[in-house]
Amino acid sequence: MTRNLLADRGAYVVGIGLHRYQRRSDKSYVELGLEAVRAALGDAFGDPVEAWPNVEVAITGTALLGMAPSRVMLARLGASGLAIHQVENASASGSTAVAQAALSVSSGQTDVALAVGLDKPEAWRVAASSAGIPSLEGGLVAPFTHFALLASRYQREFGVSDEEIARVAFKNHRNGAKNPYAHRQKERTIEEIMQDPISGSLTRLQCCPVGEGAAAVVVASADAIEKFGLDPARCPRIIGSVSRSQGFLEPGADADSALTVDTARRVFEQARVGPSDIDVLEVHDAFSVEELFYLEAMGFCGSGEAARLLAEGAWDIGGRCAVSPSGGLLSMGHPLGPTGTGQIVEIARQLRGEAGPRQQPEARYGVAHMVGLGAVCVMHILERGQP
Amino acid sequence: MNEKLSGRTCKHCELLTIPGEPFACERCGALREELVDTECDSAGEVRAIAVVHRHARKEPETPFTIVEVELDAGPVIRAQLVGPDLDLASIGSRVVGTRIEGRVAMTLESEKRS
Repeated sequence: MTRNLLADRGAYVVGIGLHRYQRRSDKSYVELGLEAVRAALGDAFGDPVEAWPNVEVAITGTALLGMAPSRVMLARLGASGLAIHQVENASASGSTAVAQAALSVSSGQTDVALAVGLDKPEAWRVAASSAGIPSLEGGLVAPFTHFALLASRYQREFGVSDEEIARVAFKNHRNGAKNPYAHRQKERTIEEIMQDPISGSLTRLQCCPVGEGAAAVVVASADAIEKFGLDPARCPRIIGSVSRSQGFLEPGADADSALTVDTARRVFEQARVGPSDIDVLEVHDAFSVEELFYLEAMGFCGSGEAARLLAEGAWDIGGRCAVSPSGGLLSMGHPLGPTGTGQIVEIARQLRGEAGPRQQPEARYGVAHMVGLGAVCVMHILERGQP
Repeated sequence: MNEKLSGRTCKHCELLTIPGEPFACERCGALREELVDTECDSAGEVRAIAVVHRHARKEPETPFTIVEVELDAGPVIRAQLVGPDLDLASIGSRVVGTRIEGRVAMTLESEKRS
């Protein structure tokens, strides 16, 4: 029988920090990362340089930076000799870094762990494309076309219009306009969103921007919270952490939704909560229609209902569950490595009640959901800190 | 007339893959030696469709159309849709395989001359 370490010893988010997500610049990844890490350490402990020796392990989630990016960055806080790992899990790299930090703390191996999500949009090198597995379409189906194809089936099956899907991007840009860390910080009209077609019903503003940035999360044990005199009310507990990959499905099955169905079922079971308990959700909305697919796959509503509920305001800040209050991948952006870690930053901010104009009232439970090429899915559930 | 598609069938679990699986069966793990070359009829029905307006490469010129097709033989494939009356294509349209610059593509069945 496996043990639920998160229910036993537990792991808490005690510090959060970001570097704004933005277009590629000349700034070194070292500077991007250090800004987020210093912010997270400062948020948790006060003085970041003084606090740094408390961190026993650092895990950097990155998809594009290449071999051994972490020490050259982290040594600039004063080289402490801590354990360092890099994890690559495509778009879910930053989520996987958080999962590993939570595991390190909940297992009792460490009391304080740092997860960093970090990337610059360098050249992509996808291992699977050189694996020698032939494809019939010969590279004509980019990710946006994959989701445009799924959208066409969904729209036909449930009678959902192009505009109803575009409303996902409308909401998420409205949220992101209030987020100083977002890549796209501008409200858009529905007309603007529906301009500039990319593939099928998807337009430019319904596809996420891939830029650069950094996110950092300090994860700690209850012992560490006590030892360092941290305010437990500002330390949401990680009550669910599940990582899955796509299982075999019969030809034509909806693989993307099935993977999220599987991951969500397991993480809700682990955390002993259900979709109706969740107040805030950061979802993998790389393309607008995905938000609708995954809301349904996670059980927030029935099949084909997400667009109607969106129109009724159910997913707005202040609605039934605030979905992508950060702006999501569509507006906050998707710099790969940072994205999954940044979702935890937003959820923690919401559960502390520190999200300012983006605050979901009385948020108690939050979910973060990332999908990565391959395909993989990583989900976390956090519960508000108890004073 | 009807372009044949080449694939492989697993002797153990009968999974048919197009193009043929090069390494081992994704359903049951059977080794390459257990996968038998198979020719498959290319006729099928469109189950998803997207007109692509942006593409990283110069070829093919945009816009072009991609269809996801459920073949009568079972597998689901994705390919470019080619031919004169692309506007007529929609979910449910009957299509059949053809060949364009060495690649397999699909075309509306009614346009296929015998």
